[in-house]
Amino acid sequence: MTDSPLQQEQSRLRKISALSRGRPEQVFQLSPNDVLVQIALPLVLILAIATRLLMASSQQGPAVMDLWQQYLIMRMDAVSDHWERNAGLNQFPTAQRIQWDGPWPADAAFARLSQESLPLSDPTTMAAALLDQALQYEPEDGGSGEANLSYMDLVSHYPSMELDAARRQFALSHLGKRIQRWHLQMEELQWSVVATCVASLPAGDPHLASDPGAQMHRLSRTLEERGYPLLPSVREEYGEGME
Amino acid sequence: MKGWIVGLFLCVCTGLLPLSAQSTAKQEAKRALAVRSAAEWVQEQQELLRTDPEGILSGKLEGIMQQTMLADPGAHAEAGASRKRTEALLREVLQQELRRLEAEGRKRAEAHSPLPVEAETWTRQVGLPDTERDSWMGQTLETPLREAYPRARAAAVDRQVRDLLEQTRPPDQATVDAWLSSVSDENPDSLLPRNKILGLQARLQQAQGVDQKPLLREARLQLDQQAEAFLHKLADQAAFQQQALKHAAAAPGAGAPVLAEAIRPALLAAVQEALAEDTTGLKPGETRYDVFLPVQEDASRFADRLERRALMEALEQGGWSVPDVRAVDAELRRDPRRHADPEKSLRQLADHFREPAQQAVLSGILARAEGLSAPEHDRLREELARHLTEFPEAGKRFDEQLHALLAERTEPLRETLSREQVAPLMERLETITPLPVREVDRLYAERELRAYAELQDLRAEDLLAPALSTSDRWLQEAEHLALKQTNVLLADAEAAHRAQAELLRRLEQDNLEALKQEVEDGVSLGKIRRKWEKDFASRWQSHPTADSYPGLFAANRRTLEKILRQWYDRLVEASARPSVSGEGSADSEQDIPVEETPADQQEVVIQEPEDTTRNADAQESAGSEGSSLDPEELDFARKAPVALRVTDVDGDAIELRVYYGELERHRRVRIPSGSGEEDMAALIEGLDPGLWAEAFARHSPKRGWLGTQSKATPVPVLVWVESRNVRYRTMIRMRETLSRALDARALEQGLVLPPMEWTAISDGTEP
Repeated sequence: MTDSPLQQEQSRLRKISALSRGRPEQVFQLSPNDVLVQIALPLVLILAIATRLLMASSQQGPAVMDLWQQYLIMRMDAVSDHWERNAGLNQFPTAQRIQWDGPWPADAAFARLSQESLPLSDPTTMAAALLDQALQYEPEDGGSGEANLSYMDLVSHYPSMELDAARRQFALSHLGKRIQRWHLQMEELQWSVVATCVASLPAGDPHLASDPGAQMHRLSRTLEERGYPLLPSVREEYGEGME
Repeated sequence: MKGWIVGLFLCVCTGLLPLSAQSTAKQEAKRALAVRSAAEWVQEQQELLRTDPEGILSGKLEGIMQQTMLADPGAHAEAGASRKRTEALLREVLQQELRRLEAEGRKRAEAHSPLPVEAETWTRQVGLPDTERDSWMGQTLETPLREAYPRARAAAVDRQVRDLLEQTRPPDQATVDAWLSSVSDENPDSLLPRNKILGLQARLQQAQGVDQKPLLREARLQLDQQAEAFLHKLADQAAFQQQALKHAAAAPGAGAPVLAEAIRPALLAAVQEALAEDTTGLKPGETRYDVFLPVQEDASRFADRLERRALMEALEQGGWSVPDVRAVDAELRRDPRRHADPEKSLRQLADHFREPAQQAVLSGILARAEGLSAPEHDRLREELARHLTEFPEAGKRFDEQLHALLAERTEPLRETLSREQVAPLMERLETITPLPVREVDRLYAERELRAYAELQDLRAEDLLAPALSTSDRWLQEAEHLALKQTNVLLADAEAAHRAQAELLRRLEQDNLEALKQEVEDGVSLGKIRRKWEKDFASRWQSHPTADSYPGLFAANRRTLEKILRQWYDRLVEASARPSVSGEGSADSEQDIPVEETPADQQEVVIQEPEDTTRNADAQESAGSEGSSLDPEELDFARKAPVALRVTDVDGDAIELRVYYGELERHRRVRIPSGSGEEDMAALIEGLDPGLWAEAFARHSPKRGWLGTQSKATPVPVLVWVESRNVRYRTMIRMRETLSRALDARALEQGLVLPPMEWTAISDGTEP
């Protein structure tokens, strides 16, 4: 809303009188304390509340699942856990667990992990394979009953538990999320390895190159030769065959 | 409104801070890969820079070096200092390049890194340690300094030289003339020597403004060489012009004499023509100068020289008619005294005849002049006369010719005049040839028959004086002729005299044994003398001069007598036989015991002196004080405190004169020869022992202030025996008697007299 001419005139006169008295015109009419109390604090509160609401909206609360889901998820998790144990992924929550010999890793467990984690580069196939394993999996936690039967056996007893396309998709999605986490973790580990190798290589090492891609490919080749193959997403970060 | 906007901005920033994402392993790895690859790239670039800095910097280094040297040539004058400065500059350039590489590498790393590349991390990866940096710099700059620096320096030198040459111009004619004139002034003998022209380099470079400019040393050397080359060309041109001038001056010209002011333009025209025709030596663009000022001045000198060529030719030819013989003879006879000395005579004749001779020479030259007007004729005569007086060579040649001519003409004239002058003397000499015996004796006694050296000696001869009345006006040749002819006469007499003396010596040797025998046999001295005289006469008559001088000369006669007496007395004494009397008073003598001569009294054998200045008027009695002394006596009297002279007087008497030089007194006493004791006593008394003692007392030893007495030194007594009647035994007896008398007088008066030092002399001088 624009001021009236009278108000504008008064405003000019005030400025002139302020200048004549040697006082600069105050741009801000509020004091710093006023800004802090009357503006900043309320904004902070508003932002915090908005953020929390956004986080809450992204989280899904626990939902009630059907029986087939429960049986299937239990068996998929068991198979997944078994894969984790077998691959040794749980032994390396961080790259600090890896043992080194100079600039190169010298850890048999990690080598096995690297080998076993190669299928992670094809999550669809790996999820289908794990689903098949889960469907055939018979829990070994003892006891009798339906909990110890394989899912296929359960399907033979309860045809309503047969996996249709939707249910299969759900199962693959569930496995896919796990695989995705495995993939992320493995990437983290392998990037850490790469970073450590690069940092540890002496000056003039033949693996070093003025191009990062070529450098990366030399390192990945050497790591692969040493038994620590990198995931394609890591190996081909700078493109395929850059040298 | 504004406040709301600002507050909202602040809160958004504050709220978003917690949402900043942390780096992942992938990001860290990619950063590490980016950093290492960028570092690798930087090291590759550094290595390329080290191995081929020129290639990497695209030839900038050489350009930088050249520009640096041209910007400050003073600091880069010397190659050594320049190299050091250049190396420091190149190190700075490399340092900048390294920093650029590091910066670019960091950019590359950041381009490939998802995370920021920290400066410290980057520097640690790529920075050269200080310990390696200096070595790296040295290795990198080794090849450029060895290869590119010389090229850069050569290019800088060429550029400097080219720029300076474009700004400078060759000096103009006036400047070159001024320089060459100064060279000519400093070297009048050689006009324009090449080495002096080359010494103009400093002036040339000053005129071109090169001397004050800071230059690289090689550039200065090149400019010096170019300046030297220019000066060589200049010297070549000067030499060519000088040669052309000399050639023009040497060209055969007309024999007739010409004025210099007509010759000079012709010479310069010839030089100009030669310059126009000369096509060698200068390249296109090089400056050809006109005739130089010193060469023009030299042309003037050549013109002068050619102008006086006719004069010099006339002087060289000679054959003058002036002065003629009659004039010279008349001048000689007018006042022969002025022309006595031949050299002085020539000079005086030359001064007398110089002017007419000059006029005759000039007239002869001008008679050949062709095509001259009357004023030019007079002008040429003036010029030639000036040359004759001012040109040293012409004046010298003229004088030489004149002297030669006069010498040639005066020689026969002087000979004729000399002969005329000495004619009276020649006539007189003919009348006294050979020289009379008494004259020979006199001349032997006066001068031992020595040749006359001066005419005044001849004038002193009464025999020749009348013939020498006009000798004060004689020429030198007349004097020589007179002396020569007179000495011929004297030489003949001297030869005869000498021959007689030699004959007497042989006679003595030959007759000595016979004399001994004759003395033993008691033959008298007179007989022996007559025998010897006969023997001499028989031997002498065969001598060539026997006809002129048949008898013994007086001196030789005395010599014969002396020889006879000495041998006779010695032999008689040895045989202890009395002498035979009755042959004359000269033979009588008394035996007087003679004491042996004391060894400390240094007695010398008494010789027969010559009596040359005996005072013929001294007829005084014994014991008198003589009249005033003649110069010879005075001289003899001053030789010793006591001087004794013994001479023969008329008859057989002996005169003794004693001179007390320090007392300025003298005594004279005469005794007959062969005196006895009473005569000896009278003799001693006549010599005045009192005066003798007084003379000796002056030399008595003095008593010192301590009562000591100085040592007594002997008093010399000179004894001059000119008498043949006095024998040495007589003198010894006289000395002893005198000594006893003096001792008695000293004892009587209480005096301490020093001993005598008795010294005998032969001719009035000390032995």
